[in-house]
Amino acid sequence: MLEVKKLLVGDTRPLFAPNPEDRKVHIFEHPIDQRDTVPVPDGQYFLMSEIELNTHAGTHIEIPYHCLKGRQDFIEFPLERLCGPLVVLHMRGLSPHYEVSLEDMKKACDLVGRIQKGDIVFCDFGYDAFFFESPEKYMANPYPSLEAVRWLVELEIKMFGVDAGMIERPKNPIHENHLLFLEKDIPIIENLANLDQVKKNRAEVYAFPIAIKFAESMPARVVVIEEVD
Amino acid sequence: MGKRVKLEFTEIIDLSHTLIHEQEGRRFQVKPFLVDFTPRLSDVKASPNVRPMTLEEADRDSTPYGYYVLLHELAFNTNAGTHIEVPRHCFKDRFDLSEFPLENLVGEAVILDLRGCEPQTEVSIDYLHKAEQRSGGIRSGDIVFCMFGHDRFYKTDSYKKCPYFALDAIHWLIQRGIKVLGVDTPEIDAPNAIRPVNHFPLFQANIPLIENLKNLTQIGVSRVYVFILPVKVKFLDAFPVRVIALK
Repeated sequence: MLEVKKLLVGDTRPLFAPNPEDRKVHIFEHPIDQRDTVPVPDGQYFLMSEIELNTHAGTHIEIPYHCLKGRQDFIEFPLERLCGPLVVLHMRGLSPHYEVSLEDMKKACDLVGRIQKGDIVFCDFGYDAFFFESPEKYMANPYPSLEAVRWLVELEIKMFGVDAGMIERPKNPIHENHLLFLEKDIPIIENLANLDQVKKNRAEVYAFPIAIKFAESMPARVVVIEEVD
Repeated sequence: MGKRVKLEFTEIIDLSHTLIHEQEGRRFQVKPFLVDFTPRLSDVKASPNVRPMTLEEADRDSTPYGYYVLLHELAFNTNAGTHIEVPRHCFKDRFDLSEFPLENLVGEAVILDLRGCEPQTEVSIDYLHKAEQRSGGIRSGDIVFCMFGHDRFYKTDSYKKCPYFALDAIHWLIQRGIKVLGVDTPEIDAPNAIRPVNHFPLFQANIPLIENLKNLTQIGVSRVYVFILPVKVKFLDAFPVRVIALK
């Protein structure tokens, strides 16, 4: 059993309806149940909701089926690959649309120690602050260069995540970075939040999206557990 | 170099049912569409083409999508499949999914073995108490999963004919200081209840309820570490959830 002397730190941002990202999230409240028609005391009620949403709304995990036919959906994708040791690369203060070079990536790694095979790597660009402030600013996020992505893939990281809406060079018609990760079964998490709260060089991530047959991406609660001093 | 945090478990057990397009009893739809970026090859400002398709069309062959990416829209009743209900389900001003504290959704779970219960019978305090003694005890702050083994009837006519709880048994659990209640059945209220009377006291005590759990019988020990990580949807009262036990 896991040790309980750990502190939950990271947590994702709430999904709102309507979603400011223009990715659909609609909620409908239904008095579906007949029990709803029975008078209920003390402000009690019985709510039934329906939701319509895009699988890329809010903090979401993309798996290979998003870009590659014949690959695993969320039923088949192993849970072991959705949790594990975490390294957060803190790279705040970069200019809009900045391309993170291999050298930049290596420098950020040096600050927190070496990346090991099986590590989950999150890039903290500090962009989640713009999520509600300004969609234009939010969409002008830094992104990793092809060389930087190739290097991470060669290190055999387990999962990659950013606190931004995209990991591609702007207007690139080919999802080159996506394809590099997804070819190697490395899931990508977009729209992470609160990565500055991760203070330790190493922590743990748990992200278990609901198991939907044929889903290639799912909004997910991504949490980080860090050891208490 | 940073200290590597060791994950201290050997087995991950999935306690959730799979959700399948239009096979959930309640509304559950998965609608794929392809976003085609080919127009951008000649003009970077061109909008991609969006093409809705059927699940069969989107389904697998060996070709990569190339300039296309596959996306989905989902439309579903939030009580479909293995799902969590938070206090807003019955109280408009109480915690919704985005507000419910994460700390209360992660931690140690005790499994109460109630497999001796007949279908459509009431679980009494006495029955719970005996199951508790066999499990080694409920501690304050425990997640409590009630194992009826009823998940074997999932999606059959027998599934609705599940055992249910006496109201004072629910109060007894609340007084033990539990933080989550989960069952491998679709319902905790009596079949003839005109109101969900067992739900109200749980939500009044800020205890969420998980219905339609699966595989509790696979755990094999009475205590495990559990992650219940629902998507944080503002204003929503319930959502399907992946429940994971680490052993």
